Amino acid sequence: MRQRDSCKVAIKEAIQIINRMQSDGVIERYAIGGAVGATFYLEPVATLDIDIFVEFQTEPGSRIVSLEHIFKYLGDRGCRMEGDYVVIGNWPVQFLPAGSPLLQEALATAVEKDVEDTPVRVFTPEHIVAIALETGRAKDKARVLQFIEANAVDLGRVREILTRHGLSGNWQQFEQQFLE
Amino acid sequence: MRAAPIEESKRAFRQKLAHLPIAEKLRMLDQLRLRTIAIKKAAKDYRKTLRNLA
Repeated sequence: MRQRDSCKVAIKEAIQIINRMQSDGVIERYAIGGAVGATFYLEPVATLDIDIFVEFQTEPGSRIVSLEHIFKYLGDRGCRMEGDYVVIGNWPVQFLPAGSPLLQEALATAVEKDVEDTPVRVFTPEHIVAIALETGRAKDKARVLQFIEANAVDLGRVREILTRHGLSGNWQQFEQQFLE
Repeated sequence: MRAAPIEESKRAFRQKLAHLPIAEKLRMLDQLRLRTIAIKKAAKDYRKTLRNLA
């Protein structure tokens, strides 16, 4: 396959390119979150993009995270930029720094899944739910309800995570709004 | 038909989808995304046509 053609692919191939970025040392540890991450545990959840959470190293003496090396690596392979996204295959991919303690924990405890012999790291259902409760948009709350209805999440663990990160109020608010 | 059996059958269908192999679910995401884009484009074109007619 020619190098430029490697980007004309669907979601599984996008994962393969992200794995290659990791083995080439362009990114360190990564995990998929958001709707694509949720699809590993639920029925497919329609989405327009892939959220990849990554551990970034900042430049020495700087607190600013640079994505330039990622864009250069993918640009050299024929991927194009669209706003904050890099289009890998047909999929806009957003690389998000795991910038909060909750996201760092989610990244550290992410689990490896297998997509037809392609390994991929995905947030646990409990962390996807905790992050959704922290983000708190309508679509995030809908996703939490999907997890609960499908019995695809350990709510005890979710409460532990939320307590650990000072987000117990988010759960109480959600519970009052939807579960009482 | 009462509401409860309808809800129950919807839930069962969603459970069935949730238990599909992940590769199959990801292929469905590909298709859902393309469909969403097509619908958004059609809606945008329709609104443009209506504006031109006004």
